[in-house]
Amino acid sequence: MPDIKKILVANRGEIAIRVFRTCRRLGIKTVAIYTNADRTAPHVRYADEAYCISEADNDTSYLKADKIIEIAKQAGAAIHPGYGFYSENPTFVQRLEEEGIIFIGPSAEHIKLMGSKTGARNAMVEAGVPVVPGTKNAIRDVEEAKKTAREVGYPIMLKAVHGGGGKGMRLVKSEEDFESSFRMASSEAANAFGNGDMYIEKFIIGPHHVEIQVLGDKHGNALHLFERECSIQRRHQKVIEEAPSPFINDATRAKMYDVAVKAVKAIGYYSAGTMEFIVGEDQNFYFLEMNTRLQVEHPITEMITGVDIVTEMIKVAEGKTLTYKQEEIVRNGHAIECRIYAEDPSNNFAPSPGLITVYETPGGPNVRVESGAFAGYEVPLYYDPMIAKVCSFGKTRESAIIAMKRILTEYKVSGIKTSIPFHQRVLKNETFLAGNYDTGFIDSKFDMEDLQRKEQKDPSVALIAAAIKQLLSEKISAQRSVTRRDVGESNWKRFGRLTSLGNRLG
Amino acid sequence: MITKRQYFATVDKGEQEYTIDIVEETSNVFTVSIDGKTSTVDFARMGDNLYSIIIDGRSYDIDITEKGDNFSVLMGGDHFDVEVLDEMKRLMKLRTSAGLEGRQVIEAQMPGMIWKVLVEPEQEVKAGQPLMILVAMKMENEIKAPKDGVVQELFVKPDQTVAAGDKLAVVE
Repeated sequence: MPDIKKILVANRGEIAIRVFRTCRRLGIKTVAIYTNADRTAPHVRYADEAYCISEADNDTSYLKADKIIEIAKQAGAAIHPGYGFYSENPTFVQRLEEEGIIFIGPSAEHIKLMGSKTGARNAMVEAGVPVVPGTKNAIRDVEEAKKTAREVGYPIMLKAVHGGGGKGMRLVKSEEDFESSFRMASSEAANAFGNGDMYIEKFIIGPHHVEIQVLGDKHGNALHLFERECSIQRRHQKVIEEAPSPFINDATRAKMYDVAVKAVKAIGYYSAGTMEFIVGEDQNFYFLEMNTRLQVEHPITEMITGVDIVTEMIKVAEGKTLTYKQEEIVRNGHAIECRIYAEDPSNNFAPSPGLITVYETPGGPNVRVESGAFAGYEVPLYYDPMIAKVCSFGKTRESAIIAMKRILTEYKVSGIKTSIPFHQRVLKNETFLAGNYDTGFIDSKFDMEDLQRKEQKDPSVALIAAAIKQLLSEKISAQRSVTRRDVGESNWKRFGRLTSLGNRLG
Repeated sequence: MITKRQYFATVDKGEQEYTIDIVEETSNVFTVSIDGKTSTVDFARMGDNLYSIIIDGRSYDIDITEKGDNFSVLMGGDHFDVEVLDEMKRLMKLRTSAGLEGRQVIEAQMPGMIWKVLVEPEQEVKAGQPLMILVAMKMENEIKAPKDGVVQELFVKPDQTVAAGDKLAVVE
């Protein structure tokens, strides 16, 4: 396979820029696609070439396969999908294969296999990977599902076969809640993914979400890049990740690495991927799913290993072997990632799109910021609320936390609300600081109301600031009103108004 | 010309009312008293919403979003909603707040698109019952009835885009 000379990133925002950065370093030309809602987005300016793919402002506007393929062919570019959109769409990858366009990712077969939760589960069982007790196949019938749930034992988790991002997922604690939960989850899945098939899993108590970053090539080589702990989740979506995990012990670690690499080899997987596991209080771990793409949280793995995962993906797509052997990859230090969302934590995390008026990024040592935002950027209503991810690095977990606290203080985003205050609260939380959190952290260990509660805090600075702002606003509006009324008025009238204004303000 | 004003402020719709006296000494420097405790304040605008504020030598970097008499103040990780009223507005508010009993106008708390409207005009609803679903940034947000009552008016239809503050419905 020839060397890749040009790459089109079929994505937007920070991940498009992330991939472009590696391309620039490797001397590969870059192609951006954009919708009219994103005309001023940084990924458009960062690329060597940029093409509008859609006039429509909606969440499917980056899903114009025909247009993307036409642009890639015209430009002579391979396609990197980033995450989301087409990153795990086997039909799209199949089409690229047919059109002779290089896809920088795994094969359509691997995406298809691991995209089906039951297919993935069966493949993993065959590869000797432990899985959570539950159903092997999709269940459509509610009575049959109820019977199975009874056999597995409550609490159970209902999951959509084709699900993701928490959609079509329900925790059921007892049989009496089963039927309504099943119907709701199934209907949600049918709406979101076009398929309402469900499966049932045993719910693990005190669960940790720990995932192993893997790389494979087309020559049968596979390796792991250690683990990430992703247990801080809201609505089943990750918000803070760290590497390595503060929870699992070295024996568990070794077993998980071994299982992950064996699984990659067993299915002949190539490119970057992530084996996600649930780890119980007892350190027993079970396969959850495999993400067949570059993930949002990959930078923290890059920080502790020094491996550029995108470079490896490109090399693998070119048919080359991985740059490293397992023994050459050394884990160093600790890294934390906070996903910054355009959300208002003080208003139940309501979405907060709009114009960013001030944007100051953190700097200094041990910082990595991946973002597609800037001052003057209008965060569109139509896409995911993540505007940036900030990563800190330290020799130890403690120093990485200290670095992150500093980073979040330096990071200023105005005009819209962001989740930064939420992250700052988490970083002060004792359970988090002790590294003793599981996926129930936000619900059980984190005081969400603390974001609203102010009685312990001194509001005097806020009061002073607000009062001065009010005074200045009144002065400005008074001046404007005098100026407006000036038109056509005599100097005597103007003098009278100014005198009156002076008396009011003086 | 020295500008002097007195304001009455509350934080996060709390019950405590603070009396704030301000004297503008120069264009940037103010003397501010909160309930009699006086500070010297240097107040400088850095950007659209960003301000540098130095109070008796202590430096703060704060974000202020202004909406009428309400200010959303973000300092580090702390967020405060401060309402600032002058004497006249304070009296007017005391008078009008009694008149709003019963009729509840529901406004969009965020910009978005109305995905589904779940009720019809004249329909009886219970407090907390979802009235419609507003989608913004790929998240579905239920707009709920603030009280038991009847849907008097619906101002929106499915697929309609709304801005923050737009009227959605009236429950009476």
